[in-house]
Amino acid sequence: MTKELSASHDQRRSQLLRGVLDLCLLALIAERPRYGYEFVEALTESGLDLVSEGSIYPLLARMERAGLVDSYRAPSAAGGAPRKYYRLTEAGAAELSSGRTTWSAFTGAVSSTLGT
Amino acid sequence: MAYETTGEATTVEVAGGDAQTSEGRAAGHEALEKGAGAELTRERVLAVCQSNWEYRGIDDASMREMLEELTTHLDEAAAAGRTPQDVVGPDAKAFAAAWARARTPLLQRVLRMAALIPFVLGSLLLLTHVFDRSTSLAIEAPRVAFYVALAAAIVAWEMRRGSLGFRGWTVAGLVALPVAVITALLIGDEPLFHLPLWGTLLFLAPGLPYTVVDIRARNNAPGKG
Repeated sequence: MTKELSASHDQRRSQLLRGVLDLCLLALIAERPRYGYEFVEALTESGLDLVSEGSIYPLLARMERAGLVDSYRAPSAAGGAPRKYYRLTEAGAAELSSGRTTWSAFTGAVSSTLGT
Repeated sequence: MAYETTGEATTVEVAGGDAQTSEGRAAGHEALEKGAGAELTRERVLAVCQSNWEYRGIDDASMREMLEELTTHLDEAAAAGRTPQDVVGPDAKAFAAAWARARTPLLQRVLRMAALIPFVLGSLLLLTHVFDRSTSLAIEAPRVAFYVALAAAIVAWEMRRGSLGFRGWTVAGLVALPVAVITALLIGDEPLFHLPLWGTLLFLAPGLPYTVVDIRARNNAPGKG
């Protein structure tokens, strides 16, 4: 029973993050340009563990195609081969701003409904 | 499965906490054992992704960039004590497919493949022109059957194993040869038609621009020259 509840809790978190992972990535890029692994580290630090870390790449590719982010290659501070860094475009900043507004209104409405 | 991709949409699975993460990963390992039947090593993940992207019509420059990005991530994850499966999920092919769909629209990929498949066929035919020292090739049923069987075996092998190698070529040849022999026994080896040199060149034409772009990208790749 506890295991079922735990799985259900996990699934709900998964579904919630699905809807906002792109916004989370945009918000992280808005702080500073980042490369793939840095997104995973930042999400993990925020308590948002991805079962498959690589799932950020299809999202980043889609956002790059949509012109929300662009990319460049640069050496990493950690050393090693140059990384592909993502940075926010104007369209991405507008999308993030709009997404934040939507999220605030949505969470407000849900909180009000849940009575939290 | 970690990826559910419908058309342009890609969804992801996330974990709630440490305990759940371990469970999710354990489930993934179980799925892998049932499914692919082989442990996901760094090399296997990269090989599976590369072959998947090739067959999905991702251009060379994009593929190289994606492989570099993935390689870096796998290395950093390994340094942090995580496995390749933690990065790509239990199904490396599904991961590769989701990334390919997100990276390049289907139409672009289909056009590329529609141009490159005749290009490969045209190259083989051109070689035959050269070996035969002839401007006209007799196309017989066994020859057609051999190439079709060889191509099918190569595609099937690469899709399953990720990379071809000597063993793959040997198996593909061993599959294609009997197909050609059986076709010769059943249909005979009389020429079906004669293909002129200009016909062969027509096969090459659509794929030439893609090939030139790929070669340029390869030469301009970081670490080259």
